[in-house]
Amino acid sequence: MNKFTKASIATGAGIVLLLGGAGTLAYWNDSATTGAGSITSGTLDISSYAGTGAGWFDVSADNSSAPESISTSTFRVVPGDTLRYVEWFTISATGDNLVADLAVNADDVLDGLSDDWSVNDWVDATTTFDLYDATGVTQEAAGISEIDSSDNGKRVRVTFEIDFDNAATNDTQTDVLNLGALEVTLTQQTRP
Amino acid sequence: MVQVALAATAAFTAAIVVALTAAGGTFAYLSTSAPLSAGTITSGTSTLTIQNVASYPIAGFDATALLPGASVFTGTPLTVKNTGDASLSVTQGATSFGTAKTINGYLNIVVGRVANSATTCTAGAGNVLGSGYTLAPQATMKVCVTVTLAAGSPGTVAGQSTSFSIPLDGSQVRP
Repeated sequence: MNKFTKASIATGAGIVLLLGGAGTLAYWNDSATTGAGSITSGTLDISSYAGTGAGWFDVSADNSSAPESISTSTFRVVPGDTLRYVEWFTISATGDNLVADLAVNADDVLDGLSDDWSVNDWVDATTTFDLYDATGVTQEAAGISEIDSSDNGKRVRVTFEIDFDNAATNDTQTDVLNLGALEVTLTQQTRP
Repeated sequence: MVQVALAATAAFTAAIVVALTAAGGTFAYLSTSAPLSAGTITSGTSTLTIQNVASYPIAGFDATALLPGASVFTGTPLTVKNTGDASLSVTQGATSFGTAKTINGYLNIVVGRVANSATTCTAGAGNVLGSGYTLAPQATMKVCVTVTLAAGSPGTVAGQSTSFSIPLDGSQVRP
């Protein structure tokens, strides 16, 4: 046998001895089960909900019929426009001490775009969250920034408003803003 | 045995990698997200056309009629259209002449806006655009162009010909 084989055998024997030692108790012993039962974790989820008044709107100050429903496939943005996007979500939040922040990654998305509007900071987005009951009809709170487990099953209306600065130049013509990466996030608040 | 040792090392390495990956993908605390189906937004354009083109050569000026104090004008009104997506305030830009001629200084060129129902022009017809006439997207207006040779023009300009272009400038306005 070469040295390596001998060393391997010695190591294996050592492990067997250690296991044998762990399993042995000397003297009397007894045990009883506690009544602690099981503990279940909470949940946190947000998912799209088909509420009323969703979609894109032209809310430009000089549009006398604002908010006017628009289709982004045909609407063409010009400097000075303000557009609004509304989408509904359902909150699923359980956990007695759960508090979570609502956010939309609008700034990150706009910073990452390469069109002339975004590159030159000629777009400015604001997002607001309004809390509605489970029917999506009765507003319970406007302008919220966080939810807790008492909001489980309620609806949140997300209003994303984007201003197109009238400082924009002709470079922005026919530009396309891809907002496909926008998402709404619920993040549990940190705890001490 | 060398092979066994290598395998053990490989398993150990794999375990470390898995552990690091798990740590990297984990958010502390609970979090969740859902996409906003906002899609894309497309910008509009600002475009003016005259007689449906960007640059329209005016035909039919009867230069033989241009005597000091007299005018020539377009026979029929020209159609200016805002083919873009923004309201534009249209003004008459500074005339540029093709070549430097004495006569250039004695020509007065006016673009006058006439009624959209107008079918003929007369000398000096229409309202000057002045500080701007606002054309909504897809709206049109009709203009007549009148060229007048100043009454006090010297004899040296007789027989001179010149070429010129008149820009119509559109600047976006919001009502």
